[in-house]
Amino acid sequence: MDIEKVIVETLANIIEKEPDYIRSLDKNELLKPHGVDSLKFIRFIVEIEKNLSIEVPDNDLDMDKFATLDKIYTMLSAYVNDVKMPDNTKKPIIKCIITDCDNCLWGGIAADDGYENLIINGAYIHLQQILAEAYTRGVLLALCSKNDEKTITDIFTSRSDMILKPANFVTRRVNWKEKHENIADVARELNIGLDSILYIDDSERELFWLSKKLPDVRAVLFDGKNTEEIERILSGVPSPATAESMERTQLYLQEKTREASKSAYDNIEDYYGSLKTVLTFKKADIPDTERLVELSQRTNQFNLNATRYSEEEIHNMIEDTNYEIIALTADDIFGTLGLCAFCVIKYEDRNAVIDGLMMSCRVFGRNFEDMMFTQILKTALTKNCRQLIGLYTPTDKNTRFAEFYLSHGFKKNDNILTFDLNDNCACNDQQIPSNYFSEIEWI
Amino acid sequence: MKNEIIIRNIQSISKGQPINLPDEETDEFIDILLSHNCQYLIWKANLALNNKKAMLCNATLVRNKSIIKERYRLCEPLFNALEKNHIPYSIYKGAVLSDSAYGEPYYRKSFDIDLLLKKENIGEIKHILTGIGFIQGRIKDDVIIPYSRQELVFHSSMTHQTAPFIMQTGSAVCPFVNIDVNFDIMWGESDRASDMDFILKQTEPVQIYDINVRKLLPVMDFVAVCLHHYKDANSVYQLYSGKLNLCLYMDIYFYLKNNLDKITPDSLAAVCERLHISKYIYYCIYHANLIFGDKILIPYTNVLRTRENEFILEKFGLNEQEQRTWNWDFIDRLLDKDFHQKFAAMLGNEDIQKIQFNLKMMH
Repeated sequence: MDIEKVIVETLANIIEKEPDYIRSLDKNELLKPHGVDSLKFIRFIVEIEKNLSIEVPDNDLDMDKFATLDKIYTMLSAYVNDVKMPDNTKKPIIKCIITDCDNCLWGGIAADDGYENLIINGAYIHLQQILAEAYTRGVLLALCSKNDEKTITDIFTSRSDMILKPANFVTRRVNWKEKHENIADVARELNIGLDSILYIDDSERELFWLSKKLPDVRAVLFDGKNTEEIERILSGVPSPATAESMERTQLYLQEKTREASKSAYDNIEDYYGSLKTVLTFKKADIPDTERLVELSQRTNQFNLNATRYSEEEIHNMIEDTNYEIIALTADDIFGTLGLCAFCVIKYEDRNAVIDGLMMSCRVFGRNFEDMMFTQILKTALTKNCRQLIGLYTPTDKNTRFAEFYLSHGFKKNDNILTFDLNDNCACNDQQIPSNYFSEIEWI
Repeated sequence: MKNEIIIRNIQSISKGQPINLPDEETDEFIDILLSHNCQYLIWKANLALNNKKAMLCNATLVRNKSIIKERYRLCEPLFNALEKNHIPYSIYKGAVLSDSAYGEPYYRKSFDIDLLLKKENIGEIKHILTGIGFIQGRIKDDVIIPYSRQELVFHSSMTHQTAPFIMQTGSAVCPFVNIDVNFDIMWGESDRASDMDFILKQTEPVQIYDINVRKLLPVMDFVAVCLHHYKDANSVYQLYSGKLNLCLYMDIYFYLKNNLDKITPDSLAAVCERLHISKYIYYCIYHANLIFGDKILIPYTNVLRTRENEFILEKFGLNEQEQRTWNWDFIDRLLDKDFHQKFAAMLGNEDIQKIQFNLKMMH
């Protein structure tokens, strides 16, 4: 993105001058005499936040900090490059959009007007287009409507002008329960945080109660016009789409089928054995970059060092012999789970520092992380390392795995987690039943 | 009722003496005090035994006590989180001011809790408040409507406050709690930022109805109150939207009167000099003395009087660009029932435009 171009065009638009006029100004010249008064400053901030998909923190909302072009470039570049954004103002990527139906996906009330009289054009179609595009970028879609199932189903089956189809929705809650109860239920079903959900509704009252009950859920009041706000929130979802992202809904639906099949087994060992899981470890290559970035940006729970890698960082680490990125892909009888975990090892002297270790929540509970640890041990031993150093940064979301390193034999000295490879070279996979995995391809 | 009679009776009340008014004029006097939010003076005058209005006023104060108690109880998680996260803060104005000036937290009607924080901690406080259930919004038809991004940006960039936080509580006594987050004791129009590191080091723990909070030390707290009241008495926007309020000066007078041992003239002068605010504090005490006529205030005005400080006594406006001279005596404009009309007539087109801009953003 050409940040400077966006800034110039936005500023020009606000003060109603041509972009060339802005470019002709000295970068250190005060902008106030050129029309940037208090109101224009506020409008500029609101517009530039939309255009650059950023949010200026409160403590930087000061006209003096944006008084010249040079100051504007410096301030805004830092936000775009995510240097200045403090952790507690940065919001997680949206993983799921839950949308109301009446007066959101269509104009009108389905139960009153009948499917044939609903308005499916203009902003309603535009909203569907936005949701469809988000779907291709791996955002899960869900319906949440106070309605009868048949009423909603009839619309999807009878209105050919609907862009979204039933298969685009990973789940639906069409019932008469309170919205916040349904939304919480969806979050549990998909195993995602409430702050990864965007909820769209046309009712101020529904959104008010949602904000009270589930304040972490991001919500947009859709008034039949304001799709820009939704686009702005979704601009944080990685783009372009990866192979995994385009199939994400299918992956979740596969997972539902897996879970449903569990009931046929008396014990978990037999269930896992039935899946005939194949794990493949490999050293990551450049073509894996997009998926590694996506996994790094999306993973909150099993992300032990809370790392977020950019495309450039992944590229550099793949090409740097002091680093090794190990990727794990998995398949079972229900389909492929894709690249679902990876770790970043940095070699310093004879230490293997585990800078990043993350795994998709879709594969929790299947001991993949134990196998990943075994692969890390094998790799470190082949490099003749003396010890592993595990980096753990606690966040609100990853405390469930706070003891991962300690439970795998690490010791804590002066807050540093270490694993002595000379004394502890026995891998711990003997604790996992032998039928859990039908095949493991190690590096 | 003549202004001199009103002032004379206010002075009697402040000295603990009975008012000197015929029964048929007592109601009018009480109405004037109520219109200036001086419920404390009505209570102090012991009028309730013989006057229904005064009795109702006292009943309001009792109800106020329940509301404040409940408000602080509901905000206990906030105060605990501030302590746990070691965020320097202070509560000021509201119940804390009432406690310091009048001996109890409920003698002033307040509708919110004012927090004072450093601007760099705003991200954290927002995180804490939204985690507890607060939203930055306004109440409309008993529902909180979130502010737009434009309104949020206006508050944080043009004032020294974030946009207010509100939480609907489900409590019958206190259905909504408002929190105002302030990051400076000076007003937004000021070209000077206060030394918040210095200010927030001057705090002490107190309890408001068994809830542990932090407030500023007496000298600093008094100074913060004076600055707030100075702003209310001189902001073109505030004056246009309301009027001059006697309660501002009542707070200043009784705060000093009831804390003479903790706020000495020298300690006050030292803080004023440190923060470069002497003229504003002088203005407040000087005008409080015009109403209450108490010689205990003389040492304070003496230590702060300079030619420069006297310059602003008959001015209004919060910065050099806005500053104008009153064409009206202080007591007359304080007690004038037609204040709004006369004040509006003093303003020019630019003032009206700024007021309309503020009205658009604040509402």
